[in-house]
Amino acid sequence: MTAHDHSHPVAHEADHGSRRSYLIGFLLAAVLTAIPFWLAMSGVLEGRITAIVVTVLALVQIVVHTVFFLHVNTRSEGGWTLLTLVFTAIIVVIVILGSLWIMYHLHGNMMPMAPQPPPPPA
Amino acid sequence: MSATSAATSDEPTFYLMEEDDHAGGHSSPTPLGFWIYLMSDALIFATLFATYGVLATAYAGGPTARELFDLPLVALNTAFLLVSSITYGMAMMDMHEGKTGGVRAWLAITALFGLAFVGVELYEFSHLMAEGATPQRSAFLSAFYTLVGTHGLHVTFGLIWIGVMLVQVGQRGLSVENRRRLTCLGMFWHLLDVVWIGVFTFVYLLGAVL
Amino acid sequence: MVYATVVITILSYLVWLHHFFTMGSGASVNSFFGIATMVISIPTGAKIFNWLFTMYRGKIRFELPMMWVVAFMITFVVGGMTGVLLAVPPADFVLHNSLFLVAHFHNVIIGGVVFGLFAGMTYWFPKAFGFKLDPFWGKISFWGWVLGYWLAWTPIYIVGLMGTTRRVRHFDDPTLQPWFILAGIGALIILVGILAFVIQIAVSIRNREKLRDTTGDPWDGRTLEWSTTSPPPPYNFAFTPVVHDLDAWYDMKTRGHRPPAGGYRPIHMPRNTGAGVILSGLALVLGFAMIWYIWWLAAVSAVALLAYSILHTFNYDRDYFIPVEDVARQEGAGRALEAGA
Repeated sequence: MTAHDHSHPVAHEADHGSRRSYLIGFLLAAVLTAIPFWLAMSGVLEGRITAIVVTVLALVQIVVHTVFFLHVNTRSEGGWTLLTLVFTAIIVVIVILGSLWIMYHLHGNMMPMAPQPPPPPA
Repeated sequence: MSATSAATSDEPTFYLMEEDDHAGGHSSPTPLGFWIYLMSDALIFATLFATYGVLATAYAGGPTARELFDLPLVALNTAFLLVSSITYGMAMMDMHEGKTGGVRAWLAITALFGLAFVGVELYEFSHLMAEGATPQRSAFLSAFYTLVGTHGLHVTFGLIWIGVMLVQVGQRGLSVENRRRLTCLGMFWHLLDVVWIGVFTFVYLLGAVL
Repeated sequence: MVYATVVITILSYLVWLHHFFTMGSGASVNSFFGIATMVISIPTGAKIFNWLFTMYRGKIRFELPMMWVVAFMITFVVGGMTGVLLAVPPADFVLHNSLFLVAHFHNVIIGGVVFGLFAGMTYWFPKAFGFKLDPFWGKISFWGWVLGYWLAWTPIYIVGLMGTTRRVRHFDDPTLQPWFILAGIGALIILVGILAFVIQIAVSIRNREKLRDTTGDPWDGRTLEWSTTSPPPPYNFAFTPVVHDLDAWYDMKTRGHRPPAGGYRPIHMPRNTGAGVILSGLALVLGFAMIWYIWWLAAVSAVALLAYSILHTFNYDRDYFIPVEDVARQEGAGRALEAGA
């Protein structure tokens, strides 16, 4: 801590948003929740396309919640909140995508291709 | 900031002789520390999501996701949790305006929605188990109950925390400690909603679609 | 150095499959994780060179902490290089589950963790406890560990390369026997090092008055922790130090600056609490009960854990002030020790 940090404590405080930002966030979140539920329940689009749209909307909604409800921005706590979030996001992506990728290949290589013939009687 | 040192004038300052009083609490490092805890909690959920992703089709001849999931019920639960997020936000706004009564009222409303969420989830679980879809039935169901159950357990602990805060705000009003705790609880509550986005999308919706 | 650490932080999350090259995940997965594992050696090499160039043309005193550091660097580099060998998936298919692998990870853990730990412990022991560790028994421990390590594990690398698998209690090839006898002698020398370490602690406690660090700066150190008394007062610094140089305490010493001897203020401190120990004890019981399916105990400890955490939040008496007189007394005592030294 230097003298500079001590003289500007306000810059390090967490942002706490406003009623307006909460309401905007809530409306966005409601829309971003309603669309995927409607898509999945009505089945207007083909399955694969629905899956892609639903996934993208979920990622957008996560960002909306992070910005409007968790108040993460570049200024909060002197940027440390955002930095730890970015680090966590990297690890989350590595863990999830890495596991899926590895297990997909393992499944392809190690699972029996076709039903195995029954073992010969002893 | 007046800082002095016993030495000559051209020598730099080596020690701050007069300092801010830290008792004011304005520069508390707690929210950042709690945020880092939340990030580690997010990693727990990441591993559970990865496990679920790997095992999502390991039905072992048992019931499939498409057969089991009741989307209208999940939509209702999602609405409960989303509304509880905005009601908690209102509690925070009242806290910043110093309205003790408003904070308690919004906290109580948030807790009601949280209770409704946990109640519906327990109903869903008991319903699934009655159909024979128990955690022991298949790897898919083990992963499902572990992921969704861990989230439900977090919400339950959040409810206990809201209960404690209702008592403490009643006892001491919006003291420095209670404001800090309400801020942390708010981050916890909102993060659970973020995790729920992942649950309803990747478990329920994709399970029903694919 | 910082960039190397950051790069390793990220890369280290991209290597876990190097434990399972042989499980059958296929060529693309294996090559990705093999390359990621090998790439780690680049920032690690940057670190090693950083340390070497820090020492280069410096006035090196071969006291115990420095001896451990040098042993750490040499041993760890060899372990890292056998690691790069193992990171090549085809080589791993041959060496998987062999004693070569066992020698590799003991090489990095003993060379990289244990030796580094000894270096840090010997260096900061006087700061933490107020007296230095006995150098004679420390050097016996050092040579026991380092010579014993190399005598014990080099033969294990060799028999591993010849195909001996790990965790065997019996082998048919009698030509391997000499290597294992050599390794056994090495293990006995390590035992000498371990015993010498225990003796070192006992001897140091007995001779603590003679080994007492009265200056707070027994090594003529460069960083700020050496500007306090040994052991440091509960508040660490009576005044917040201002850093102008990478080696702040060395900077202050060369400019002839001493910490101010007056004008103290009461210091705001957190109160001690047993909550952490009690909570982790209860969590231990909960974990034990769940692992062994002792459900009544799990329920009791879970409720106790929750109840105690809630109870603790009702304790608002969390801080206190160290009065000026106590600060002055502590600081005065520290200065008196220095003056007498």
